[in-house]
Amino acid sequence: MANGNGTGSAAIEIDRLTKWFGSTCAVNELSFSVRKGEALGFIGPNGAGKTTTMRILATLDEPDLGDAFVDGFSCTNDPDSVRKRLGFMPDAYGAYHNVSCVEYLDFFARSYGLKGRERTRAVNRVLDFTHMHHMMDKPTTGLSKGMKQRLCLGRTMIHDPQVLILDEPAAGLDPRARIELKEMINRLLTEGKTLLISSHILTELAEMCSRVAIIEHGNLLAVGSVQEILNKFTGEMASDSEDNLTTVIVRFLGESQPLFDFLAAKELRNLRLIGDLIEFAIRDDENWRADFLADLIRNKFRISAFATKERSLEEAFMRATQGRVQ
Amino acid sequence: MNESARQMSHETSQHPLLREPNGLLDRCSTWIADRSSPLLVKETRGAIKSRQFFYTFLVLLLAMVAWSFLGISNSIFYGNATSGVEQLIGYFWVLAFPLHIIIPFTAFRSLMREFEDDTLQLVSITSLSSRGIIFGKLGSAALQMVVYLAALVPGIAFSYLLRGVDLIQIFSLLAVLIASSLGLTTLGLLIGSVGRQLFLRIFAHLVLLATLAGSFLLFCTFVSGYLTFGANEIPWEGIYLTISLFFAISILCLETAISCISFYAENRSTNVRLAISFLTFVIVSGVILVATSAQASSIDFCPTISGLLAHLLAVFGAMMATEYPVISQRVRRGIPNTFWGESVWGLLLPGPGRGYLFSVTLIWGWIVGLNLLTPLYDRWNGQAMPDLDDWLSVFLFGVTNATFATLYVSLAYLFGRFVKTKMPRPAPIFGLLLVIISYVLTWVVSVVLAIMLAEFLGGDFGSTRELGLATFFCWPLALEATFDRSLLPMDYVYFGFNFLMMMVLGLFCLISALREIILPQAMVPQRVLDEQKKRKRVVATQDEETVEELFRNRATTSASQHPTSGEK
Repeated sequence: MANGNGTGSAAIEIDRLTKWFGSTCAVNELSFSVRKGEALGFIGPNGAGKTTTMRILATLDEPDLGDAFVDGFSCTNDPDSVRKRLGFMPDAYGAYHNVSCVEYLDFFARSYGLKGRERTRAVNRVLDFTHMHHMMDKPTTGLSKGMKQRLCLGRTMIHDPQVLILDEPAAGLDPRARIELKEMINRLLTEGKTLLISSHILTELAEMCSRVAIIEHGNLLAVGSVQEILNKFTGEMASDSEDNLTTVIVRFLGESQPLFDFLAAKELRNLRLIGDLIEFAIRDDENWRADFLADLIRNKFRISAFATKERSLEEAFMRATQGRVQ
Repeated sequence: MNESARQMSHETSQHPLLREPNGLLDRCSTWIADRSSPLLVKETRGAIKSRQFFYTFLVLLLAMVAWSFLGISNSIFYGNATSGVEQLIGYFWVLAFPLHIIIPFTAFRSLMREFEDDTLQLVSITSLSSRGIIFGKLGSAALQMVVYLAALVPGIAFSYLLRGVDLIQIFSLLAVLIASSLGLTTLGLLIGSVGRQLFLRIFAHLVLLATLAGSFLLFCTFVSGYLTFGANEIPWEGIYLTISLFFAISILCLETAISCISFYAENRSTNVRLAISFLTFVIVSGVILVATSAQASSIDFCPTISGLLAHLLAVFGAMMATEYPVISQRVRRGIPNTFWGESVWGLLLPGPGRGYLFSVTLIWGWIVGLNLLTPLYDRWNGQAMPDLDDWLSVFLFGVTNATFATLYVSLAYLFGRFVKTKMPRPAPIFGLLLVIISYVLTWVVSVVLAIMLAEFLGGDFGSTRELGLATFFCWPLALEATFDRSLLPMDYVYFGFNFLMMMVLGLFCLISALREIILPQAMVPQRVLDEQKKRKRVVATQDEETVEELFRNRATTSASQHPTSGEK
C-alpha cells in the first residue's frame, strides 16, 4: 500500500473488509478492486452484504476490520477526500418536502461546495444529461419512479465524480425507464467514469458491466469478467481438450429410446430426456456441432430442431449462490 | 441539437436559479447565498413555500391586528386609557408562541425528518460538515425569527407610542426572547439528533413539546412580571449568570448535536469536552460572582460549588468514560508527540480512557483547586480568613464529593469496558442506561458500606446523622460543612474509607486507561497532506466572483449607466 493508503492504481479497492451487525457478519474479509473506467456488477441475494459494502465505500458506515479505498484514499480515515471523488446513489430516494427538482440539484451542488457559475453549469449539465428540463419546477415528492431515479442519478453526478456507486438503480423501473437508465449508464462509461453497480436485473447488468463480483453471506464467491463467471458456474471443460462445453437441446420426432441410447453410447455429459427434448453438453465449437448434427441425420434420426442453450448470468448466479438470507 | 432541445435549454437558462445574476441586488444576494450554508438556503426556500409557515405567519398577523384593535377600542369606546405595558405584554405573548414553540419544534422536526427520509446520509456524504448541517438548521431558525419579529415590529412601535414602556425594556425583552428561542432551538436540535429509534422519537417529541410549552409559559409570566413590577430588583449578577449559563448550555447542546451526527471516525469528543469545561467555568464564576456581591465568606459557598460540580462532572464524566472504545486512525493522527502535548491536548481526544482521565482531572482540579484557593478569595474580598477547623471541614467535604464523583466515573468506566466486550457497538440508549445504573450502584454501594462501617464502629442509627448517612454518605459531612463545622472522628473514618476505595478503583481504571494513552501517533499519508494543502490554498474557485470583482463589476455597470460629463 503506497503512503499507507490504497495502491492508487485501482479506482476502488476493497481490502479484507469486515462488518458485523451484532452477531451477524454482514461482510466477511471481502477483497476485490475495480479498475479505472470500468463497470463492475455487484450481485448477490438479499442480505448478502452488497449495500453494507457500498455504504462503507460511500463513507456512511465504518468497517470493523479492513478498509476500502477510493482513488487511493481510505474511506475510514480520509472520508473528505473520498467524498469529493465519489457519487453514491443509495436505494432510498431521499426527497425534501417543498423543494423542486432544480432546487434539489442546486442544494446538492452547493453542498459539494460549487459556487456561482460553476454551480449553474453543474446543474445545467445534469439537467441535460438526465433530460429533466421539462420537470425542473416539479416538487421532488411528486415524481414517478423513473423520474425519481433520474433525479437521484443527477444528484449523484452533480459534482462530477470519477467514481459512481449505484445501489439497485433499476429497481422498480418500467422497461422504458430501464432502457433509458441503461443508456445513461453507458454514457457515463464512455465519459471514463468508474462504476460499481448492484442490481437484481442480471441480464442488463451483464450488458453494462465488463466484470462481475458475486457475494453471498458477506463472502466473495467469484469476481471476474462476465465470460469468466459464466464459464466458472455454467460451463464445463471437455475432458480431452481445453475447450468449454455448451449445452445443446434437440427436438425429435418418433421414438425417444433409440436416440437416447445413441447419445448415451457417445458418453455425452449431462444427458437427459425432457418430454420430446433431449439435452446434453458437447464441445463449444461450431464445426464440432455441425459434424455432430450431420452424424445424427446420417443415422436416420428425425430431428426437428437443434439449438445451443444460451448461458446466462442468472444461471451462473443461481448456481453460485444458495439463496440463504442471513 | 434539435429545436425542442434548444428550446428547453433556453428555458433552463432563463430559470431564476440558473440565469446570471442581474443587477446589483441580485448579484449581492447571490454572493451572500453562495457564502451561506446550503441548508440555510434550501430550508429558507422550503419554509417560504410551506403551509406551516404561511398559517403561522397569518395567525401571528391576525393576532397582532386583533390585539391592536382591542387596545384601541378599549380606549375609544370604553374610555379606558390603555397603557403601552398592557399592549406590549400582549404582543410578546403573541410573538413568544412562534419563537418559543413553533421555531424550535420546526428545527427539531427538520433534523428528525432528515433521519426519517434518509436525506441526512445524502447530505453527510457531501462536502458539508456536521457542523455545517447543524448551523444551517440554526441559521434557518434565526431567519424565521427575523421574519416573525419584522411582522410584530408595528405592534411593538404602537405600544411604545402609547407610553408606559421605555426602549431599554423593549430591547432587553426582545434580547431575552431571541436568546431563549435560539437556546430552545439548540435543545430541539440536540434532541432531534439523538432520537433515531421509533420509541425514542415519540419520547423525544413529548419531552420537547412539554419543555417548549413550559418555557413559553415561563417567558410569558416573566414578561408580565417584568413589565408590571419593573426590573429594579433583578441584580446584574443574576442577569450575567442567567445569560452566561444559557450561552454555555446552548454551546454544549450544539456541540453534542454536531457530535451525534458526525462520522464514526471523526473526532467527536474534543469540542464537547471543551464545552463542558466552559460550562463548568461559567458555573464557578457565576457562583463566585453572586457570593462576592452578597459579601459571603468562601466557606459559605464552597460546599455548594463542591456538591454542584461533583454531581455535574460525575454525570458528564460517566458519559465520557463510556465512549466508543475504538480510536480511529484519523483520530490517532492528531495524538500529540510530546509529553506536555499529550497531557493537555491528549486528554481532549476521543476514547473512554482519555474521557475517564479528563473527567477525573476536571473533578479534582476544580473541586480541590477551588477549596484550596478559598483563603485567597477571602483576602481579596476583604473578608476575615476562615478558621482552620472550619476550612478543614469544608475542604474535607469537597474532597469527599470529588471522591464520590471519581468512584462513580470509575464504576461507569469499568461497566462500559465490560459491556463493550459483550456488545461491540451498543445503541446510545445503552450508554444512557449504563450511566444511570452506575449512579444508582455507586450510591447504594457507598451507603451500604458506610452503614456497615458505622455498625462496625458502633454507630447509633436512631440519630439524624445516621439517617442522613443512610440516604447518601456525603450528607452528614454536608450538614457539618454547612452548619456545624465540627468534624467527628467518625467523619475521618468515612472519608478515609471512601478515599481508599476510590484510590483502589481509580488505580485499576488508570492502568486500563493508560493502554489507550500510550497509543502512538499515526502518520498522515502524503497524498492526504497534499490534498489538505491544496484545499487551504484555494480561496475562490476559478469561476467564482470574489468581493473585489463584485464591486468592480458594480462600478463598471454604474459607469456605463451614468456616463461622466467629460464623456459627454
